[in-house]
Parts: sequence; structure tokens; C-alpha cells
Amino acid sequence: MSEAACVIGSGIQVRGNLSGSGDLIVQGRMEGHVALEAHVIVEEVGSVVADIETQELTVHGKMTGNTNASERISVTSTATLVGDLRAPRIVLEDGARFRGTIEMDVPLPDDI
Amino acid sequence: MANTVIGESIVIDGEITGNEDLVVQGTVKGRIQLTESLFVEESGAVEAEIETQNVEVSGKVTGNITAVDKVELKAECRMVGDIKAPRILMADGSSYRGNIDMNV
Repeated sequence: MSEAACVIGSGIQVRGNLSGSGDLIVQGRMEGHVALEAHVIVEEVGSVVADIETQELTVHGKMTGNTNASERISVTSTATLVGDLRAPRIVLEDGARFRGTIEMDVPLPDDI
Repeated sequence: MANTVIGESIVIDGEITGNEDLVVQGTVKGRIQLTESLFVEESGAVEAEIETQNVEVSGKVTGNITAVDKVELKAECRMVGDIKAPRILMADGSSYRGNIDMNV
């Protein structure tokens, strides 16, 4: 866990734009916009109100905002998420609370 | 208590507030307001108005610092801006330009 490039601890609030590369772990509060070529993890105690562009997103805590992930989005059993998700692979675990649209970029057959 | 680190490859443009230590190895622009300590490490670059308990600068800081307790400029640091704090330490080798107010 200490391998992550950026950790926002439980006593910290960040408001604004966060960009760069390297994993991000949010245990505190993040508001604004996140653009990272890596893995974003919102921990159970974390709360995020932001639009996120990333490779992979894992939500254990509370999140409001739209996410565009190039690889994968996981919404785990402890998560509460409101927003639109777009990624090739999306996992919604049993117990997860979610409201929003999901777009998986899957090529649908022509006849539907 | 959890430790907050802004890594080398990270850029934050905005406001950081909180009640725990913050370590900056990347870039932060805007405003930092903490009730604990701020550490700007060698690779860190901060362009912000800073209000904290303690500040320790080993990297680059542009902006004004108001600290309740102590500001420490380490050797090799580069800082431009005003500092207001009861205790200010400046190491041999540090580069600084600005006003210092120790409430004398």
C-alpha cells in the first residue's frame, strides 16, 4: 500500500485538479477532477466528489462523479457510488450501492 | 495516523486542507492549510499560499508561508516568498528570497 505514488490520508481534504501517473489511494476527501494513468483506489473511509479519468478504479467508499476508465472499474460491497461509469470491464459486487449509467463499450450485434 | 503523500509523478492544482501531516514529493499549486506539518521533499515543488503548524522545505517553494510554530529551510532548498513564524531555521546552503517576520 505504501507503494502508491499518492496517498490522501483520512484527515486531508483536496479540492481541485489532480493529475499525473502513479497509483492514488484516497482515505480522506477529494473534490474536483482526477486524471491519472494508473489505479485509483477509494478506501472505505474515503469520499470522492470528482470526475475521474484513469486506467483502473476501485471504490470501497463513497463516491459521486463520472468515471472513464481505460481498463476496469470495481465497485465493491462496501461502496456507495452515484455517477456514470464507462470502461471495458466493470464489476459490481453484491452489497454495492450504485445509481447511474454503465457503458462497457461492447460491440453489440447488428440486429439489436 | 494515516500519512498523506503526494508522489513525484503527481500534480495537484487546487486546495489541500486537513489535520494530519502532508508530504509533497510532486507538484502542488494553489493553497495548503494544515493543522500539522508540511514536508516539501527534494523532488517536491510547491507554488502555494501555505498555512500550517510546521513547514520543512528541502525542495522548491514559491509563495508565502505562515506557520504557527516553526519553518525550517534545509540545505539545497529553494524558496521565494515571505515567511511568518515564531521560529525560523535556515540551513547553510539553502537559497531564499523574501521577507521574514518572527513577531519580534
